[in-house]
Amino acid sequence: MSDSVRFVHAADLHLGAPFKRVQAADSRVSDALLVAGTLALGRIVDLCIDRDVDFLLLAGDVFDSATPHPSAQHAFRRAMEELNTAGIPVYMTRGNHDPGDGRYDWIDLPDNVRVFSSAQVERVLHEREGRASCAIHGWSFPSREVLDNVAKRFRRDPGDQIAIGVLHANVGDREGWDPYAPCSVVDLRDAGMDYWALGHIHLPEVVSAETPVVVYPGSPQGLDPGESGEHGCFLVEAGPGNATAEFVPTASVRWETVEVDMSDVFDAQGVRRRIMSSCQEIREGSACPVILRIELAGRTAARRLLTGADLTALVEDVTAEQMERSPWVWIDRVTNHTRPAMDVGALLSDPGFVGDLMRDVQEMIDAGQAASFVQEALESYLSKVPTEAQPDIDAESLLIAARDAALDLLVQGGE
Amino acid sequence: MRIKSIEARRFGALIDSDLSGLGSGLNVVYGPNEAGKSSYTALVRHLLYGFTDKRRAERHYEPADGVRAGRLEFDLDGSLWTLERADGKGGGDPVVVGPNGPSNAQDFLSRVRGGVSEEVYRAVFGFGLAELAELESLESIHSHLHATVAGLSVNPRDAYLGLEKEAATYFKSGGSAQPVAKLLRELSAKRKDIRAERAESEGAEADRERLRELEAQVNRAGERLVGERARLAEVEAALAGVAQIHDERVALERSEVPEVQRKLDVLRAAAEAIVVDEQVLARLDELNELVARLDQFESARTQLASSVQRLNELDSANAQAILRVGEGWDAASVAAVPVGGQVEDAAEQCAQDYRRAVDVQAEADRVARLAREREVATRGAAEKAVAAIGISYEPGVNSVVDQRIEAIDRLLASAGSAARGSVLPLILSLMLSLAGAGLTGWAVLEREWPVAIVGGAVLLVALVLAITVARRRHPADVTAYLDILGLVDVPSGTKGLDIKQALYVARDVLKDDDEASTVAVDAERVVADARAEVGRVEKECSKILTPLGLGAVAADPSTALSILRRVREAQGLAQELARTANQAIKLRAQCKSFAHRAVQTGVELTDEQEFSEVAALVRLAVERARDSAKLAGERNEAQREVLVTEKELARLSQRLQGIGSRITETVEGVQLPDVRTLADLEAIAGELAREVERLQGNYDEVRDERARLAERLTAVADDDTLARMSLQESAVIEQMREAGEQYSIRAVAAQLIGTTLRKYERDRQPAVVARAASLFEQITDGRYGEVLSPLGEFELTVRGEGVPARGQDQLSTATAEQLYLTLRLAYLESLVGPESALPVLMDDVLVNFDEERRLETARIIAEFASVRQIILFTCQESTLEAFSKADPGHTSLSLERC
Repeated sequence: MSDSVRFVHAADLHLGAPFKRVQAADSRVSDALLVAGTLALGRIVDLCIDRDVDFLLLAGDVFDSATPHPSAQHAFRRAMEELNTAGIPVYMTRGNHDPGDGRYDWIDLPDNVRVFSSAQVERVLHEREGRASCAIHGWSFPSREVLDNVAKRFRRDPGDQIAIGVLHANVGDREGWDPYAPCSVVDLRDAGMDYWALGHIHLPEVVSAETPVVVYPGSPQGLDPGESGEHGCFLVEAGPGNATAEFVPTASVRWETVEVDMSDVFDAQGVRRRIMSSCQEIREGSACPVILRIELAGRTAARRLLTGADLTALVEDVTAEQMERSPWVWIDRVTNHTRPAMDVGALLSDPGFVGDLMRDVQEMIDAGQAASFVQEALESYLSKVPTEAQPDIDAESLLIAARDAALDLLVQGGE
Repeated sequence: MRIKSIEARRFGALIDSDLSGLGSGLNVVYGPNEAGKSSYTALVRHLLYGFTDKRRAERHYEPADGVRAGRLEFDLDGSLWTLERADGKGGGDPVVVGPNGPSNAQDFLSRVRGGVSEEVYRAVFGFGLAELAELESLESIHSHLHATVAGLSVNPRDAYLGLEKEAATYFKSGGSAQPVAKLLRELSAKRKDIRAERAESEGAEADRERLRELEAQVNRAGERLVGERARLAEVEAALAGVAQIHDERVALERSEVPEVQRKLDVLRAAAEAIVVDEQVLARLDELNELVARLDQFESARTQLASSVQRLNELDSANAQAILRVGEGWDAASVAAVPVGGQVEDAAEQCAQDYRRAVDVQAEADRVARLAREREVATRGAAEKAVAAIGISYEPGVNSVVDQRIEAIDRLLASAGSAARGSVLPLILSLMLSLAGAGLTGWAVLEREWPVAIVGGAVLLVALVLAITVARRRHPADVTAYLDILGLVDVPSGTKGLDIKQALYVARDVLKDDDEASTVAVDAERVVADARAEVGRVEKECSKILTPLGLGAVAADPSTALSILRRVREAQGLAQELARTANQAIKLRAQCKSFAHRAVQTGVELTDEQEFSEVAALVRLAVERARDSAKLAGERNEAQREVLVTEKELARLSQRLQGIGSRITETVEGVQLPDVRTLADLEAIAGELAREVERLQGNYDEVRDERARLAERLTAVADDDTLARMSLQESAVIEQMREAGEQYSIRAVAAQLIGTTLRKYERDRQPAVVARAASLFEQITDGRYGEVLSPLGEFELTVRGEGVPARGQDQLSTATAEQLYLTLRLAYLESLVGPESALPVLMDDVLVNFDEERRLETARIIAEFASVRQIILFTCQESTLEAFSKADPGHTSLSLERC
């Protein structure tokens, strides 16, 4: 019997999670998104079976909530039953999104699925041909918010031939992610594991390639425009004191955001060509359909073409064309971050009204009054529109964008 | 910029007219009505900004024929420039010529206009009384003046309003038609749907719980149903048992018992009807024994018959055998001959020895005869052979031949090699001779005479040939050899060889002759020995046969032996006859014994009857006995069936007796409370049946509900409606975000412009307004010392010492014009940008002023003209006078009526 074990490490499936921040107006896009989560899970299962792995590790947030929709639970159960039929065990923890002990409400998971306890770090011996081939240490979130350093509770047993830790945690205090189960790489190293199967961060990353190998597999399917790039899981070969992890893509839809420089664009045709070119580059770099966000940037004389109905019509035209190609590219949104084609710095010293306006903006930003100004300007709007439907642009950026819009009118309007 | 001349080629009423000689400061141009004052003022504007198109054409400036065209000559930074423009596309292309020749018109115009739009120019830099009237709206004044003052091409307030208007296309407080409002409603509807779907999902969770509960209920109901069914089955089984027992009793009483009774009667009658011969039956075993021995008896009887027949045959054969022994022989004499054993063997040996000796003698005679015949043949051949070489056959002939052979060999050897060539024929002839001799010899020995003749012929020919060959040889000097050979000269090669061949043949024939003689002698000796042996055997046989009474034939041992064998045959037949007679006696005794036994067993036999009838009689007796036995068996079987039927009848009687107690036991065996009787049991069965039916109904109901729920839950599990709704909700939210972003940018931009505008008005406008107030106070001679322009409003209010505040609408036309003029002058004074270099053209704006205010206004304008060129047109001499007083050094020009 070989001394090593081969397994698949995945996390953050967030089954049942609604796709947010997207306008999937085309049925091809919405259909693709609706099945993307279960499709990614299916690809993980296929990978397990095709590569004849010893087991599958799921490091938390399998579901998007502790009470996921029945369809999500059934999809998961079907996948687990498929692995059960193939004789592949599954060891899983529950993360901050699907915390708690015990069974899920709707589904009776097959016998090959082992859910780690949330009471303490559990050590489970994985057996192969009647012998313990490796020890898997795992722990589940008991509730949504856990601020303890759980990694310190993990300890390798002296009898472990191979030790693997499964934990849903924020390693290294990563910004933009909930600080749950915070710990450091040093904490992980002190536990004495050979491999750390982490979850929580949705972007794939090999945190440490040295023993212990520490890996965030990321979400197998990107969930929103913020989760751009490739998504998948890791195929791991682990032995005593060593481990190698190979990334395997599983996403069926890819999110991308691209910045398109409009500095040297002067007319609508130029804008169209530049956007088409960006779409083509994105398509060539992706094996699957792409939902694309475009951020127009640069100082351009064509700024006035990049707003309102003109831009909407242009984007719709390009999108229709892109959707007919393979893989398709859906332009979900085009954001105009271009700047007026003028020397803004020089305007600050303008003695006239524009100078006053520029200085007013700068003074507000310097004084930290941008938010209150924006709040006041948008008071009625903000009181009417729910927070989640409000633009997520920050006050300073909004102020700058508003200033540029004003300059468009005040300075360039007469020319 | 200082205009030096204005040339009108075609503009309104002006045709090829010009206004030249303009000074750099104050210029007062006097002209009567229709002299072109307004036209010159407008022409400068059109030359700077282009001729107005037909949509906003100022028709009174359209020439009667031709196109509008004009030219400005002016001084800019100390250089002379010209600007020409003729009406055309886009207002006509300007042509600018500078000190260095033609120049870029657009760059030049941008430079001289200093960002001042046409509208602003018309409001501040080139206006007449009409423009003053048009500019009565303070809002317009403020806007244009602000834009101009701020160095902008767009009025910030217009920008502000435009942005607010744009923002309102996305969102408007209280509005319902804007995208954000629509999206809000759509979002609300989506969320309502989602809540409903979630509620259904949660309901499905409740259904799941209900399903689990139903599972338990189904199990419980099923278990209870099974239990009640079991009880019902038990009761029904008891009832069925009772019914069965009852049916059983009826069947017993009415059917089974009478039937068995009838059967018993029949059986008894049948048993009594069977009569058995007991005596015969009693001897059945013995008869069976006889039958068992019957085959043996039959065999003995058959053998006995055979033995008797054999006895007769043997007796006859024995008599014949005695006769065959020979005459004089009878049974006694035959019996007396000791035959067998050594005697017979000796006689046999004697006869054999005699036959052998006779055979040997005959063979010896035959061999001796052959030897003699061969001796004769070889002697003849030898004689011929030696005669052929010239030698007579006599004793010692062999030596002579050998001597001659040696002589011829030597002679031939010495005859030289010349004769060797002829040796081969000689050798062949000799070999042929030898072959003929051999053949002849063999044929003689074998008495094959034709072959011998052929062989002899061959030999003869071969010898002749050899001699011929030998004679051809010619030996040289061996006279001795020739003498021995009886030759005169040496024979030729062939002849020599022939001689030699003949000699060799003769030597071989002589050798055969010697051998044949030896054989013949030996054969004669053998014949003598054979004859002696025959005599000896005859003597030996006589010794043996004579004691046997065969001395008469002792000389012929074979005949004696033949007689002896016939004696022995007769003796054998006599012995077999005796044995057969003994066997017949024994067999007859056996047959008699069997017949006697049969008689004892009851077989009716008489002494007269032959053994051949015994078997049939015995079989007849046995058959009778067996018939009796069969009847006895039938009788026994009938009696057994009677007994069995009697037992069955007794058992049925017992069953009849036990049925009552069995019913009681069955009823009591149900073990239900208060069940004592069959009626109780029937009542309980009815209740249980109803309960089972009710439980079955409950069970089916629960099971159906469970099935429906399971189906619904499966549908929920496969339903992606909620996900689709969420996706649609996300789309709506994203649209709201986009619309919100567009709205926010515009709303904030509007707010930003508004804020800056208010500050600007607050911080800068008071100086302008204060200056205007100062000028206005000066013009009105202190009557109105204050001009107020509240922030955010477009109302001007004037106030003076003892004069209540009055709005612009409350002022007289002239006073209002004075107020507007002072505002323009104050704004002009505050200008600091390039636009301040633009000349100001005023068309009779003092026409409504009274003398005092006109003079004072003239002073103020003259003062302004100290820093910029001012061209003031008037048709009033009073205005000329006022300016003459105010600035005597001004440039005064005049125009003629067109």
